[in-house]
Amino acid sequence: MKESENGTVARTGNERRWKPDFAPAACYDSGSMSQKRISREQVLHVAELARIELTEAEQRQLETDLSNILGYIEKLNQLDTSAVEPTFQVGDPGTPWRDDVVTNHPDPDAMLQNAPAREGRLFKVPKIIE
Amino acid sequence: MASEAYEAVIGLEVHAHLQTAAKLFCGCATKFGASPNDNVCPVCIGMPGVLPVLNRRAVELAIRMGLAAHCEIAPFSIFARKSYFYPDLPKGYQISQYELPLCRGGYVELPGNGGAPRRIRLVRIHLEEDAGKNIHERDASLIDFNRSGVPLAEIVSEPDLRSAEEAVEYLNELRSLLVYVGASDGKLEEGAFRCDCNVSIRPRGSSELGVKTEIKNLNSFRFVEKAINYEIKRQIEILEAGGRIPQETHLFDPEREVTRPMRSKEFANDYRYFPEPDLPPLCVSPAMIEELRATMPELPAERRARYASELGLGDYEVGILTREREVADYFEAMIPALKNPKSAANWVMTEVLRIVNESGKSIDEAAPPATESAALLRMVEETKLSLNAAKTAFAAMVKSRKSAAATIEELGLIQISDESAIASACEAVLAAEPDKVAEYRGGRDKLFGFFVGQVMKAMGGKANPRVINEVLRKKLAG
Repeated sequence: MKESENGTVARTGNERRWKPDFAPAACYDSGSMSQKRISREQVLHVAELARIELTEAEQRQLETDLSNILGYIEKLNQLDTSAVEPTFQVGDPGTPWRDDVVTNHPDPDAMLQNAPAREGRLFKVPKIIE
Repeated sequence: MASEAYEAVIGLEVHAHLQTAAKLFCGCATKFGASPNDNVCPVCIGMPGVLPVLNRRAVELAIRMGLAAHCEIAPFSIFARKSYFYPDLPKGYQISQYELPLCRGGYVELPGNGGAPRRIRLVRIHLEEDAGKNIHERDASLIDFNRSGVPLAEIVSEPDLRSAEEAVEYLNELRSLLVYVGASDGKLEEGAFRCDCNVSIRPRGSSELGVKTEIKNLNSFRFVEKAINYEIKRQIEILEAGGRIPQETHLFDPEREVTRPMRSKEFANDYRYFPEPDLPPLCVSPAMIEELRATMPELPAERRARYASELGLGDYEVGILTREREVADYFEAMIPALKNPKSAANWVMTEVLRIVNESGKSIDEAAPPATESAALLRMVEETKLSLNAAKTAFAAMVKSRKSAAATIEELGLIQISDESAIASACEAVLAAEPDKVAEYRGGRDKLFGFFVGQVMKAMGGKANPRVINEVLRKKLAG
């Protein structure tokens, strides 16, 4: 699936039937699958938030796939981490800063080169319905 | 308000631009008024593969604001992605803070206006980036990303405000604090200070919260006041008619001065916040906080308290003098030269603020230096100059930029207090008007003013009226 400029989904016909191959097979075992399941409503809600349109078959597939992913996380959650500090960052701790110095791009017009449409120096998009 | 039976409960979310030279995560200029898309780069128009790097100055300004509002400054805070689709948001998410904001708790103190100062508690202050600007045309929308990535402080209050007027007072105080800590120049250009209001009502005396309406994107203090008052009235009418208030998000229509509900499509409240993977956690060392604390100015609430207790000024004068940092600084620069700080207060509130307001410029641009104002008042205290002559000199100095001494010299405004010079003028006047002197001595007291006027006229208006009074009384009695 690919999102086109106008926000609708262009169908290419060869969407990959993706199944994460990095997860242990046990996670996909229906017997060990988590009680938590992603419902069709949740799939449709997330799809709407992401502005993608799904076919009936895709909806079904995602319902299973997302539930499996959640099941995998549930599996990880079985590990007792109560005594482990969360790791937010690996490597050098501390915040990398930028000084408050203006370094404007030398060619701001170049920033509009990828715009699907423009009017003068403004990006032009389909009218936003208020 | 429409009904005494109800009390309003108001909380505000304020978005204030932090005055940095460059944007929050890239080096593009933040300068207002540039041509469209002049200050844009791959980072702030959301090109794939770019990485944000945090502007230290923006963090410092947000911390200074946090210190001014008595917040707890978090040594460890994280940025989060707030995802939603709108054409002015090029990445499809805004970098904000959600869990673990930079500043937590705290309060803003409002002047008491006769009573004790009131504290409005804060929930948090966090850092985030602004979005671009949409220009809606008939058949298309145009987007300018100059504002995209400009640093904002989002300041969230507890629902501690009770009226539209109090909300405006709170906004004035926030604006004042931003200027005091150097986070804003106080010139509220378009979009530099925006506010969302949460408004509910409840029976007066109740401690439960009613259902709130959120009013979005108010960009002037006047609109905040109108929108809140409209909303309170609307909610009272619903309750009085036996209805229930639905939880809604409204937009204020400044032309019709009403609020209207937004369609649910216009706000997806599911922002799917998650920690921003492109930015490491924001770590603020105790040393950095202490360094910032050490350079904090005296704040409006502290100045208000000091002006009242040490200088004996009233609430009204204190309020006007402290609202703008530059006005308070000007006033304080005058005090050392003067015996009576109240005369400096009156001078600033009348002469100085009048020309500042008329010119629309800053005090430094519009008015002669504080030391020159003080020099004029010092001469008034020493009776070398009448107050009216001081005002004349001040008006001339605004235009000429000359010193007080040179101006008074040039305009010949020095007041004559020399008793012998005044005495001889008095003698001459009395000698020329023997009939009136006789009438006065016969009981026509009103003639005293006539003699004062004649002496003043003879001395070209420059004599000290107090000395004239003394001398004339002695001579007429004798």
